[in-house]
Amino acid sequence: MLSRDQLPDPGPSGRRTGVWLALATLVVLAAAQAYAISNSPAEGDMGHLQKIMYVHVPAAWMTFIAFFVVLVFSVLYLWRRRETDDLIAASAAEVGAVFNGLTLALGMIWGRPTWGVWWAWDARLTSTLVLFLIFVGYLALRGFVDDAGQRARWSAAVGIIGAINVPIVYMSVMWWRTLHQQPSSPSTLDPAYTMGLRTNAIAMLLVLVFFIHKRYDIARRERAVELAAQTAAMRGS
Amino acid sequence: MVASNQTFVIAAYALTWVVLLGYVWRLVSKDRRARADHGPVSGRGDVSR
Amino acid sequence: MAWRDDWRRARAIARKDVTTELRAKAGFNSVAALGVTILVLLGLALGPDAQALRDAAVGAVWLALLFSGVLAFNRSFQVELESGALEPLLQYPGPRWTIFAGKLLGNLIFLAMMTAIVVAVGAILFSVSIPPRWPALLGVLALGILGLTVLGTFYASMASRSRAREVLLPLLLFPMLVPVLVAATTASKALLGTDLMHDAGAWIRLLAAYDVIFLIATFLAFEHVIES
Repeated sequence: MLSRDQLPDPGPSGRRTGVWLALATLVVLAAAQAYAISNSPAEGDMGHLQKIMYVHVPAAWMTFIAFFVVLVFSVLYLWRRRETDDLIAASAAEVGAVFNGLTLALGMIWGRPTWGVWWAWDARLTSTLVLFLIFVGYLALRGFVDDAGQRARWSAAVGIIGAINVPIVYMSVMWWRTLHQQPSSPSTLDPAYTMGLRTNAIAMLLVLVFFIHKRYDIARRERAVELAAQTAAMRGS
Repeated sequence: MVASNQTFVIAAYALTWVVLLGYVWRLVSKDRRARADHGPVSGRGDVSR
Repeated sequence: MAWRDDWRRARAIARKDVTTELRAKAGFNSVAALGVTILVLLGLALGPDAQALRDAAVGAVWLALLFSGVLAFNRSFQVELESGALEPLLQYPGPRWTIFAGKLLGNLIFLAMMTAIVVAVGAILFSVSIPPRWPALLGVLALGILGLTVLGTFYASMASRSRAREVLLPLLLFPMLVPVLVAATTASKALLGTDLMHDAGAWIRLLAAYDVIFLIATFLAFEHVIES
C-alpha cells in the first residue's frame, strides 16, 4: 500500500524538468510532422489527403500499444498483486482511450472526402470503435467500484478478457465486410511514405510514454489521498 | 477538389494538437489537484497502511 | 471423488437458482415479456414493409435476446446480494469455479427458455418461415446463447456488486459480444437463405472457437473476481 512517505515531492526544479520534458516530446512530434508533410509527394487521386495518414496511423498504433500495456500489467497485477501494476494499467487505459478517440476522429476526417460519408462500417474503423467501447467500459468499471482491491482485481480481469477479444472482433468484422464492397482504409504499403510514417510513429511513442508515465505519477498520488481519507474515516468515526 | 481536401488535412492536424494539448492540460490540472489534496510531504511518521 | 463433489455443488447452485426463479414466476415471466416487447418495438420501428421486416428478423431477435439477457444476468446474482448469502457461499469449502459453473448453468437454462419464446414470437412477427436447414440454425442459436451467457454471467458477477449495475453490465458486455452478434446474425441469414454470400460453416466454427476460448478464460478469471 502507498503511504505519503512513498511519494516524494520532486520539488520545484523536478517539476520544471517535467514541464521541459513535456514540451520536448511535443516539439519532436511537431518536427516529425513537418518533416513528413514536406517530404511526401502529392499522390494522384487522393491529393493531399494521404498526409492525414501521418497522424491517423501512429495514433492507431499507439492505441494498440497502450492496450497491450493494459494487458501486460493486468496480468502482472493478478500474478503478484502489486498495486503499482494496477495503477500503470489504469493509466495506460486512460491514455489509450484518448489515442483511440483521436484515431476514430482522424479516420472519419480521412474517410469523409475519400468515401463521401463520415462512416462506412469498414473493418478497421469498426473494430477500433469496439475497442474504444472496451476501453470506456474498463474506465467506467473503475469509476463505479470503491473498494481498491476489488477495483484492481476486476479491472485486471476485464482488461485481460477484453484484450483476448480484440483480435476476434477484428476478424469477425473483417469477414463480415469481406464479400461486400469494402471501403479501403489508408494503406501503409507505399515505400515513399514509410520514412515519414516511421518517424511520426516514434515521435508519437515518446508522447505516449510521457503521457502514461505522468498519468501514473498522478494516479499514485490520488491513490495515496484515497487511502489516507479511508484510514482517517476509519479512525475518526 | 484539392482545396477542400486541404481543409480536411488541416482539420486533422488541428484536431490532433487540440486533443494532445488538451490532454496535457488535463494532466496538469489533475496533477495540481492531487498535489493540493495530498498535502505537503513533511516526513511525518504518518504511515498509512 | 472430488470431481464429482464439485459438480454436485455446481448443480446444487444451479438447481437452487432455477427453482427460485421459477417459483418466483414474476422473474422469468417479466424478462420473457420484456423480450417480446422489444421485438414489438423493433417491428414498429423497422416496419411495416414485410420484406424489410423479414430482412431485419435475425437482427431483431438477437437484439431482443441481448437486451433481455442482461436483466436475467444481473438478477442471477441479486438473490445472494439481497439476502447477504454471498459471504457464506464463499466460506463453503470447495473450489470457487463451482459457483461460476452453478450460476452459468442456471442462466443457461433461463436463457434457453427465453430464447424459445423470443425466437417463436420473432418468427411470427417478422414473417420468417422455417428453413430446410433449421437444425443448423438451432446450432447457431445454441452457440450464440452459450457465448452470451458465459460472458454475461462473468460480467454480472462484478457489475451486480458495483454502484451502477444497470448501466455497467451492458456497457461491459455488449462490446465483448460483437463477434457473437456478427457471427450469429450472419450465419443465421445464410441459413435462412436471405444472405447467400456467406458460408454459415465458417461462422459456426468462429462461434464455437469463441465459446471455448471464453469459457476457459472466464473460469480462470472468476477465481480473482469472486473474492470480496
